[in-house]
Amino acid sequence: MERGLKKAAKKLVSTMELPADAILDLPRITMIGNTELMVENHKGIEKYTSTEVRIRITGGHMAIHGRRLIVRFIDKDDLKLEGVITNIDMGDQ
Amino acid sequence: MITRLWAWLVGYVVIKLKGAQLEALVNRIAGGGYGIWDLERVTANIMIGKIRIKHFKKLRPLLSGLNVRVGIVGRAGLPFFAAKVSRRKGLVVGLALLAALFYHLAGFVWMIEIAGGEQISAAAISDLLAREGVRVGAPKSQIDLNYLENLLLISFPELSWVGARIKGVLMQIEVTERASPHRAEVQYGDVVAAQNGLITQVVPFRGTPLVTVGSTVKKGDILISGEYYDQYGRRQQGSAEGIVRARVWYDAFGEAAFSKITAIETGNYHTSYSVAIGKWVLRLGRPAPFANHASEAHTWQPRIGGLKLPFAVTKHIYAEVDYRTTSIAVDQARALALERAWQQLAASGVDRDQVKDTQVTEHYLMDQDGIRVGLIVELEHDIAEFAPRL
Repeated sequence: MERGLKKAAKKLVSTMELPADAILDLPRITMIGNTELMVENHKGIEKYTSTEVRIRITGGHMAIHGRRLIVRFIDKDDLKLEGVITNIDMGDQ
Repeated sequence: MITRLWAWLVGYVVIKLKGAQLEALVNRIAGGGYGIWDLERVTANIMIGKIRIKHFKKLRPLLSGLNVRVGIVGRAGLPFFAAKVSRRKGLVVGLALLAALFYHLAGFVWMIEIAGGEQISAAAISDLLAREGVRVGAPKSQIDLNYLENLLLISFPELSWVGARIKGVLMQIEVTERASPHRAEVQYGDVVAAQNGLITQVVPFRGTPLVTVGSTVKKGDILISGEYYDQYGRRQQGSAEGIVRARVWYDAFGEAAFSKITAIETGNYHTSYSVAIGKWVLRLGRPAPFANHASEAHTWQPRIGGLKLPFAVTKHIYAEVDYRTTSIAVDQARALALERAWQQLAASGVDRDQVKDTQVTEHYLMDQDGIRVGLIVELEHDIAEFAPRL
């Protein structure tokens, strides 16, 4: 049932061209060069070191690899990462 | 930026998170709606971050069940700054007074720059400005720039344009003088008399002479005309040139009294001081206790570089004097009056060595007990002056 609802929601979003991050609770990821990364609608940090930051998102996680990574700001919904980003991996659950 | 500014205004602390489950604590902090920023992993079990004071106070319940310790390693923001400053009220008051003083001093002119004059010296312009109250230390609110520009144009007819402006504490006066036509560029003109006289010699280089030896001329009369007739009898215009010498007379007078008053010092002295700040003068000490005195003043005014500061200390030395009247012989008074008449002539440009003849008259001043000497001198010199026809 839940999967059916999700499928219907996805169909609605694509047909009506609605914002997927708001309707489907997906994260919005904004990157500036390879030095700044902003994740909106995250679900928390799983791992944080200066070379790897793993963030929980709806449907899985994303791992950011790089050097001198700093969490410039984090609150309930937004997370901003700065440093030298070399790699971003997206993984599902 | 606004978030950072707001955080500084409300105050924040730099915290150290030490333990194993740091990510979990960070998630709890973020999930509670408490923003944390500049979060950095220092070692495997230490993180440093910043959080507002208000939110820090709410961290304790979030630590339950986690093997993490939180400590403050730094404080920043307006509340801490205000607490520090409140312990140094004197500094704050001093800074406020200094700021007020700078603000007040910025309302005065401290430098005056005059540029552009060649025939008219900057000193002449500066003197005129000083007479109107525009000098170093004058308040900007009392300076009317339009009025000064018009005044300079009226007072110096040689000027064609004047610009006055105030930039900060600097007043800039820029002048442009009229460009008079160069003699060599002028095509037409006559030679005229610069003053009244009796012609003694006419030497025309170019043009038609209109006067002869023995003519009496007034100032402005044409002596050599620029008009001439060419070989075909046609009238032509040209530029006259020549030398015209004439006998001219100058007169002056001088006066002298038959007695003079001399001040003799009695040996008694009194000293007092005054402090001047801008236009205000504060006198220190008693005034001179003498009925008659001669005074001397020595002023000390500090400078910074070439700029005089607007306050000065003056030392006044008063010497008691006794006035005595002594008589002067008539011959001595006559000589003194005659010398004063010569000085008056010298001030109007007469060279005593060039004088050919003099005539002296005397007149006794009965009511003032003195003598007036009138002096008329005769010279001979070139009175030719070129007057362009524009």
